[in-house]
Amino acid sequence: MSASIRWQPCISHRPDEVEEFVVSYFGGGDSKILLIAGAGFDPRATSVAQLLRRNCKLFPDAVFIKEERPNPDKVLVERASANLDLLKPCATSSMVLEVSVFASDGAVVGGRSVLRQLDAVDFSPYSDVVIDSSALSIGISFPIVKYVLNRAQLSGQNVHLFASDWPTLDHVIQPQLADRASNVHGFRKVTELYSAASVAKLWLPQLAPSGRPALQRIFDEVQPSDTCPILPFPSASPKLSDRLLAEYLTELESTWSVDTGSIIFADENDPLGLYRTILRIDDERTLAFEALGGSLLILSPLGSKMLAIGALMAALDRDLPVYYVEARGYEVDWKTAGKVDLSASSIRHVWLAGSVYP
Amino acid sequence: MSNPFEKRATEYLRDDEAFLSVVTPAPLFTFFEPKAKDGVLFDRLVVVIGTPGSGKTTIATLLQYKTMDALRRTTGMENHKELVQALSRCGAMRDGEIVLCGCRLALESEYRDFWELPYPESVKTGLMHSLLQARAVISWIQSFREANSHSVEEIEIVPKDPSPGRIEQIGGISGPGVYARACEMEREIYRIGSALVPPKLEALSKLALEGYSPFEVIDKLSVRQGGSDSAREYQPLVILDDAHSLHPQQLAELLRWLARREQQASRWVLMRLDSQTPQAALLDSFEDEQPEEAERGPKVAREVTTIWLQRKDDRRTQRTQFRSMARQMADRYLRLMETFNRGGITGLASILDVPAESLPSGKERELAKRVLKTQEELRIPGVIRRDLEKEIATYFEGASSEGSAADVQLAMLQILMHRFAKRTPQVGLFEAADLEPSRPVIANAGIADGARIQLMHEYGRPYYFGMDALCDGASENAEIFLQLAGRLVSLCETRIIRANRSGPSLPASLQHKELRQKAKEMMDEWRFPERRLVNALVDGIAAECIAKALEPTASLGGGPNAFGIPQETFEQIPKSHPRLAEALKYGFGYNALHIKQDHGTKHVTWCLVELGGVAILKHGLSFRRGNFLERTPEDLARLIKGEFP
Amino acid sequence: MNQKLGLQLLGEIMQWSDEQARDEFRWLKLMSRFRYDGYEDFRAGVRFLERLSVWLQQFKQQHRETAYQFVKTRLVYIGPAEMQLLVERLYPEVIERRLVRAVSTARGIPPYRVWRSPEAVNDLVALRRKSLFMALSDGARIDEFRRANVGILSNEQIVVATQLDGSKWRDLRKELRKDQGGSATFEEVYLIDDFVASGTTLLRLNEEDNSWKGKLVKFRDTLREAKEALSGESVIADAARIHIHHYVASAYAESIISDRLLEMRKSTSTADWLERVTFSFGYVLPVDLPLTKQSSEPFHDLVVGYYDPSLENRHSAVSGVESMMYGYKECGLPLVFEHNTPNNSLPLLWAETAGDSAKGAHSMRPLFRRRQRHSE
Repeated sequence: MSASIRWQPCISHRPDEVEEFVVSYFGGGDSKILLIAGAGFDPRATSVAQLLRRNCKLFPDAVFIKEERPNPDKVLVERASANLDLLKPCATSSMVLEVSVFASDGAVVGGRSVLRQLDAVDFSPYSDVVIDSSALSIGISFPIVKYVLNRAQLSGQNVHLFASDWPTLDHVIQPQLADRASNVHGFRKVTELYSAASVAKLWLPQLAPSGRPALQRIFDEVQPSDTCPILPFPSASPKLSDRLLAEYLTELESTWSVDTGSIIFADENDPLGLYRTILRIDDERTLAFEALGGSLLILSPLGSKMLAIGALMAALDRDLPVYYVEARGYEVDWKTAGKVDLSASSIRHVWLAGSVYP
Repeated sequence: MSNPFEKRATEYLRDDEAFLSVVTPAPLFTFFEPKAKDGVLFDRLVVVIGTPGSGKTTIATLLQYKTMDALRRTTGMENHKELVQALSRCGAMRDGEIVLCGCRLALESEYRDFWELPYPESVKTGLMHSLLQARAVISWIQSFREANSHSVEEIEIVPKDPSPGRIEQIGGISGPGVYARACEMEREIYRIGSALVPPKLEALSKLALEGYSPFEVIDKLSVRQGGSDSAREYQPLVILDDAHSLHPQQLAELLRWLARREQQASRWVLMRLDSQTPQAALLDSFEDEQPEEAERGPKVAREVTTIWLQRKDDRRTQRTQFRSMARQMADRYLRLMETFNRGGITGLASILDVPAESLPSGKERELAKRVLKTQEELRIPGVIRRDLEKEIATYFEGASSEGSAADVQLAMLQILMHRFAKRTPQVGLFEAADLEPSRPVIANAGIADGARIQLMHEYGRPYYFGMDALCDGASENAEIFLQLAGRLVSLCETRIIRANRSGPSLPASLQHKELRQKAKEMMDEWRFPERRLVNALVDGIAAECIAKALEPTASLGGGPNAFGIPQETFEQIPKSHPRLAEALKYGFGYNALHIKQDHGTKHVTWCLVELGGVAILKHGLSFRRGNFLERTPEDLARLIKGEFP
Repeated sequence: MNQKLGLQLLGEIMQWSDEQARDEFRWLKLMSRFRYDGYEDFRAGVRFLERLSVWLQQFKQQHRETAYQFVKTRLVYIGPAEMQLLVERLYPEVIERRLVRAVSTARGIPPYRVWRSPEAVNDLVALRRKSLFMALSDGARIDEFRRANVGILSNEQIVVATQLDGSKWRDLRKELRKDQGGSATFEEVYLIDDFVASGTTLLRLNEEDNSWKGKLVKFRDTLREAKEALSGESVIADAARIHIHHYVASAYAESIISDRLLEMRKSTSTADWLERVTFSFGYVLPVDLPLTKQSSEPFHDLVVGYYDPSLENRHSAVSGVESMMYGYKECGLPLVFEHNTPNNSLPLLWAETAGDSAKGAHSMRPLFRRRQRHSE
């Protein structure tokens, strides 16, 4: 017996369907949209806003979120402000929320502070809230999605999540990592209550190139009883998962001691595939560990934006902890980034809540 | 096939028996026993400070009740006696029985989060203190239930002050009552702290805000033994680990609160110290706080015990201690590996401690020629050369432990000739016998080190090999040690698998190459904040140190591995060069750099910014400490200038 | 042979230094464990390490590193977990999306409104039941497909082959009509297969008699036979849409197959049914994956140099390219499935030949020995 699945059915649109959907749904002009999007240096920051601008009769109102990190690189600051200049014309009216991701002592506070600011925004005039997570870090975007869903549950608003992703771009943007991993604000912690019985912790780290230092910090924080790494398949590069196996050799063999057969595959472009996979594992583990105090899956999305959405949906559905390492800053290989072809649309849409669901 | 050297240290901490089989009680003897003798470990606040990897968590884990209980039950381990002895000397055990009930609470980001709540400070700290106390109580009671299967009914509180009001607020004195109250408290406060959007101040429950102070009430924990009436009493100890994760002000409040005389439970606070962080300054101010300044909190106790896990002084002892601990740890790990076990190899040193291969004869001839050329260029008479050679031979007679390979002797000779020449005016065709340098040119360990360093850079002679080099490369950090050692161990394993004809021992040149390669890989994987600045600092310091080390006269022996900054200007860095201060903080926190403050030389007090072991390995410098280049904060700032606008 | 000996042997064959051996041993152990040891043809005692030793020894010393690197960096191995994922994705990603589209078109509402409308959902459920799922080969993993869709699809609409006898057809019809009423027929047919590389097995023009051959043509015959078995009555609607799904496809197959369909449509007067045929693929391999005649990678020399023409036969000739140097129809794929290696993969990976020293033909040794499928 499996528990109910929140997003089954799930209305979502693949990159090749997204434009058609936006034209059909937003093109009519009867929806009033609030767009919540990141206004960062990320080259992906503007693509969803521009998609809406191209196809909506009525431009959305927008809340643009600037994630502020200590000592930013000059180039990043310039790129971010250039992006903001491109974003603003996409909205009828807009406001910019400046969110300090870190407090002065280095603590990660972005998730809390963005919600504090968002709490002051009046959502009531809008029929549709569109969250664009393309240029938001998960420490910010995950709490926003959870928060907006909570609010929309009361108002019956439509909640859309868009993200544009070029996996190759993820590899040229390298984060500088904070000291420790932390849980995403508003999501469950691995250890909630000391008074609760201990559970079997299964960690599902998403392996991505150059992600070892981050996953090491998360492993130290989470201390899982078992680890089932997630590898990309299908992937644009069929050798990617082999390369990742080799890159994570030490972890697989020794540090995490991953059992043969404990590898999970997920399509790097399909959030729903990963979502369903995680749910299936959760269902089976819940049964298996019932007598032993229960089971807890711990997610740590890394790299692909699409898989991050899948993890987010699973975390929301099953109240799962999400652990990550916040970036203190980013190093971007602009030379390579310049070569990434951003013209091909790779935007995905997931309709998280609202009038289309029974 | 898993390699235990590649496990995270935290892995071992989780499994009591595995932990006990590899843990070394040395730090307990070194740092805690003296304090125990003074009787200042359990009656007041104890603050334990160390750099990352200095073993704070190991100590916290060892002192947990459940670990000690596992130790009591598992008597077969070879280090059993030593551990019991260490714990007894620190007052945690007596006559083989546990007298202390320790619990470790890691002050993860969850507690720091309380500082972000939109409430007045007193409410925020109050909530956090209540949560800490509730969890300590839960952990104490659970540790009796788990490890020794006592039922909660067998547990009772022995209160300091049996007045009903005080006892009531912690749920009475019976185990079930106290436990239930703590659980209720924990749930309520967790709910507030973890809420997506925190409840309004007015909406906070009475429960969360009302007084709850088990640390003040609980004097002892009493546990009835197996249905009988006899009970055993335990001193409760709460160990708050990773206190540096808190907001500085939050930490200050926590320390002030824990230092209060009313507190009965033993309380230790463990924290990492990054130089130049607010916490460091904070701690100083806390220690120096004068009674008259401390009017805010009533009855702030001056008696705080501070334990530095890596003391500011006596680094030589520290290095020796680390070497011995690392050796024990490595040997324990090695025994866990089947390949080695089967091969009867029980000590890592036996594989690593080999003599350096001498230079191939061609290269050695080349070196000899170069020495001859130097002699000619510097116009050093043969008789002097013979004297210098004799000097070198005499040195090696006295230092029998060092390899006296011909190539080293030649390189030393070259250095001595340069030194000789520098100290003697160029006098043309004087008679050799008349030449007496104003100061005698002598061969010593520094010259030998300089010779080896120069041979490494100029002839590729192996320099980093043997157990001591491995330990020193780890800069006293167990995690780094494991990573470096793991690289060599896996290579040995391969040689055993291949039934290598020359046996499992690793030739010096291979060790040297592998350690440097690993060091480079580790640095490439640095992902901490400001790593570009830290890299620039490391590379810049290293480049200048190498240039100095390769001077023909090797004026600093094996050469420097640090910049010395006058102490008082160093202290100004956070103000004068804030970005540099950040870089130094992270460099220090991640063992890329070491900061040795108050390094006294003749007239000046210096602060040494030393390269960490891994950086030394990568760049090819000497591990010997104390040699530095005199520099200023501006010189450091110059190194990172290109890295930010 | 225990693993230690296998590694020792490989170290000798490859003449690795100790450092290299350390790194390679670790990689080999890892990949054997997580991937290659599961290859179905491997036997106890002779698994990946041992096969690799044997395989590498057929090369001259100076070629071994090239061969080894090819395995390391180019070989694509698709294991059971990956296949299972592709099977599980078929319903939600392909079938359900098609159903939603069909219902939305029929009702004239946008696809995203389908789930909110009870009538539309009823249509969808009915159409779903009126879909028939058939395996085009043993590789279709129809059992896994069945298991992945318990509660969504009925067992009475999933069959393990396309060639069914009369009684099976009658059963299918009976169960369908029990659920969907007296005159119900299947309106959608899904033909499922594991892999398509050249597309010739599916559809090809036989140049000898200028006729179209292949599984698709055969399926048309099946439909006719079914009708005959049911005395002229259709179990599959005459206007049923036929959808062909392959879990994995080469880029070549993806690009060529619709063209070929069009060609047949144009050249055959009675093939209007082809207009109702569509294709989908679970995973299309990248276009630059194959090693072709034009490739400049070092392994290419080995493909040429260690080839035994005895592999060529009538079967390979049918494809239009007799040479098997780059595999069937010169697909040149560095591809291995856990259950078998396709003949479109480079034969140097899978072929086993006796060789002929007189003719200078190399005796090829397989790394992943291939089991011939009877249908080929």
